[in-house]
Amino acid sequence: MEIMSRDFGKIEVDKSDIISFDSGLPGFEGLEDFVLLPLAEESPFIIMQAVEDSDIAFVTVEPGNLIQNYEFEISDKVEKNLKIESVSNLLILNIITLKDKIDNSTANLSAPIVINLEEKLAQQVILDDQRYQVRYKIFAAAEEVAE
Amino acid sequence: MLVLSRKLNEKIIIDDQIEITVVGIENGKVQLGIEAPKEIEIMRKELLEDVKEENQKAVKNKKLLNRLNNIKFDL
Repeated sequence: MEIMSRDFGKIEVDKSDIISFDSGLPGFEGLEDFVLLPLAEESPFIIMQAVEDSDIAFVTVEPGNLIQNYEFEISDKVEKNLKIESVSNLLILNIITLKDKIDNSTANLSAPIVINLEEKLAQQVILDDQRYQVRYKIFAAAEEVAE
Repeated sequence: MLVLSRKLNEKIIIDDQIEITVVGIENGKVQLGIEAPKEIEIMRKELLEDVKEENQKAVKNKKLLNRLNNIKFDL
């Protein structure tokens, strides 16, 4: 099927590529279906594009790019919601908020997106964990090459 | 809204399954102990609001995307 994406214009996606957030994301409760689009070859960034609204797209990254030993427990409820049978089918992404001064961009480590690639089900899980901030500065450790 | 007053170590029970205990009171801060079945989600409301706001900010980034082209992390 063809969908309109914010960053890549019209694109062709397979129905089986669509992942569903049955309860939406906080702030976007009405949007359930998203597709994952790599920003570019070799880029660590993944665009999570809403299928139903071309304007809504998140920049995300796997947490391993940002910090070491990121860990959290998946509750029984999430396990059930996402029909998780094996952690090896899970993809974890964190949403990036870009700032005009790019060095100030942050990642939301407090609310990872947990995706069961096997079932194509996803949920943004909120961790009440002091170690992980909603606004974690992503370039504090990484070297910025751009500009 | 139901308003109850409780003293230190007193409890309330909700629907036979959620037990909330006042475990500490000091300097305008109340510490609560909550026992609930595992499937009940409990979180500080301001955290949920914070995540909502951050999600809404996060989608306003189109014009900045090109700045990401050359970034790689080396963790």
